Amino acid sequence: MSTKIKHINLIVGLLSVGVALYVFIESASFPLPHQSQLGAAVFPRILVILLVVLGLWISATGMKRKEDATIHHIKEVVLCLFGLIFYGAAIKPLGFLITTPIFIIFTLYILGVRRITSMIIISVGTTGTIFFIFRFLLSVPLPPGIIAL
Amino acid sequence: MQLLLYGFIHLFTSWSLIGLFLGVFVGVIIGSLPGLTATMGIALLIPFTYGISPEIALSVMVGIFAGGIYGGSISAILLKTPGTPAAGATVLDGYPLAQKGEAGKALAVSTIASAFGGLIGALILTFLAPQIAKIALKFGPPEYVLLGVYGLTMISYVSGKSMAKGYFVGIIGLLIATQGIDPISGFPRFTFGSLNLLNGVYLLPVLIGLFAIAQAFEGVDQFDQPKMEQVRLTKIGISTKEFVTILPTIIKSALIGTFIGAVPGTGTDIAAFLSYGEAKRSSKHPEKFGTGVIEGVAAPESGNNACVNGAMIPMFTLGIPGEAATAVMLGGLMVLGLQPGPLLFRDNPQVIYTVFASTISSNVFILVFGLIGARFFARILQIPKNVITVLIFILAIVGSYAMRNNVFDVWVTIAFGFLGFLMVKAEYPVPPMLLGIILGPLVESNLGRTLLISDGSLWIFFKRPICWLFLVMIIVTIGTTVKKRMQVSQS
Repeated sequence: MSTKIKHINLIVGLLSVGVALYVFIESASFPLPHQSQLGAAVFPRILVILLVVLGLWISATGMKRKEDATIHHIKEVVLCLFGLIFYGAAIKPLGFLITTPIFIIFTLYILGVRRITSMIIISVGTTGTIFFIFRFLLSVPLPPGIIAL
Repeated sequence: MQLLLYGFIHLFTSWSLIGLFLGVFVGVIIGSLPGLTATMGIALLIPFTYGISPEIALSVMVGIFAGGIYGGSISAILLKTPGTPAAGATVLDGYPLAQKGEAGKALAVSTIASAFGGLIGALILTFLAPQIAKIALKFGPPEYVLLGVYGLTMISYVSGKSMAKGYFVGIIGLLIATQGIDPISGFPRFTFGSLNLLNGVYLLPVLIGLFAIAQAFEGVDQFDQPKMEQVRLTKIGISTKEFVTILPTIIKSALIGTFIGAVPGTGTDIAAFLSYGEAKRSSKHPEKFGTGVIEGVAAPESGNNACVNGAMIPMFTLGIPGEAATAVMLGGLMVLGLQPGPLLFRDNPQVIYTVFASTISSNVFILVFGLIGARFFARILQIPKNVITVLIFILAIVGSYAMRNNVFDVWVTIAFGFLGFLMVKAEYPVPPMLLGIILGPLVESNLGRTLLISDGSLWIFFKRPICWLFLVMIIVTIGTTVKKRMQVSQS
């Protein structure tokens, strides 16, 4: 089932105004330049002015053409995003060798894989290969977490 | 010439050759799998280059780029789906040939054309690039400002449907590049109080996010698509007579491809379609194109692999990327600690000439892999797409973490990955963001220096001949693209 995000370009236009406000407020505290020096605020301010002009232009034309963004499987995409966030958060405390197989099995399940043997082979094989390449071929330490090898 | 000889000696006596071999091998696999591009391959590879010498790292990147663009033809011929956009034109005659029971011949033609086209492109790159770099060495800060702006106008070409969206994304990239300590005043800007952002956003996780994670999310979004039917592979090879028939097409397409590649902003897909178009136009039997003629496979494949080398000309000599793959390579150069541009030729000739030797030698590997290993690569196409999606996620996260042992980089990767996915869904082009991030500091810091030289006057840009050249090029680029867009929207 597809999900449509309506008025995406209008949202983008409004966001550009928000970014511009932030840049102007934040850059007000930047130090003033000496003579003939390019001030720290000048370049970002020119950029956000251009950003707002383009953002509003895109909003206006987007409204006319009624463009939407379509995501076919939003549930699976969001679940994978959460999976990634878990992976990123847990990789250091729990370690690469524990979090990676969990993430692989979780993601494969979301993507419709149900055969347990395939899941085990893929997760163990991938984890082992990547660990071997980084640890022994490249001598790059991966987070050991609670298993120190 | 002596330097090139040195490059070859270094390539053959170091790990660079193994790197190149592996690069082409992995490149062909990545390229042949529909949905995975050479650009993504290079982005995912950068973390693996940690700690190894730049020569080896660049040889691997060159291998992936060349192998990836060639690999796209395998699925174009066997699955009727181009593995990369560059192989889009190869489908036109490659698949009909395969349907006639001549898949082996089609693969042989694409292999030979890719290797020869790539070789011609690599030779032009090797001999032309140092000359351009010599001119570029004379650039001062004002020239660099305009070079950067000219590079940014390339957004017009990589924007897809909407130029406004392309420039919008480009400006977001430029804004991201302003994060961190200001190069002139030394004041930290837009860091949200985070120490991780003091030096700005680190390029590597951005690259991996935008070009690998986003791609993997796209894979998740299409996870239930049915597996494609593969054509049966026959004997691989062509006759001498057939080789003689396609040789002129290969040479002509290689020249077109290299030229297209050297013009920043165009890419391998455009080179392939233009080469195909020219081969059809100048053919004695244009009506047969599209029904499975070997010239129709040779032209795009020679053109796109020549274009790979052409695209490296502006990247190495001027430090401006022409399209997505070279933009990522440029990012890779920076991560390796090399400043792309003319100084590379002066300060690191050994690196650059080893790379040139790699671009020339990569074509030999393409020839060997294509003629001997095609059956193996056809097998790889059977791997379920969902498994590959998961693999990309893992490599992306581990790669972005391992480079600096920093979890913050992982968050940047995930954030940019999801952003990149949403951008693709809302039809916002991704490459302009990278152009902005890479060229932003070049433009701003040199603008600062220019104003110091000129006492704050902007007239300096009109007093120097090379500046005039750039100003004209900038105006012509914007003018012609705007005019073209208006014509398209009217019709």
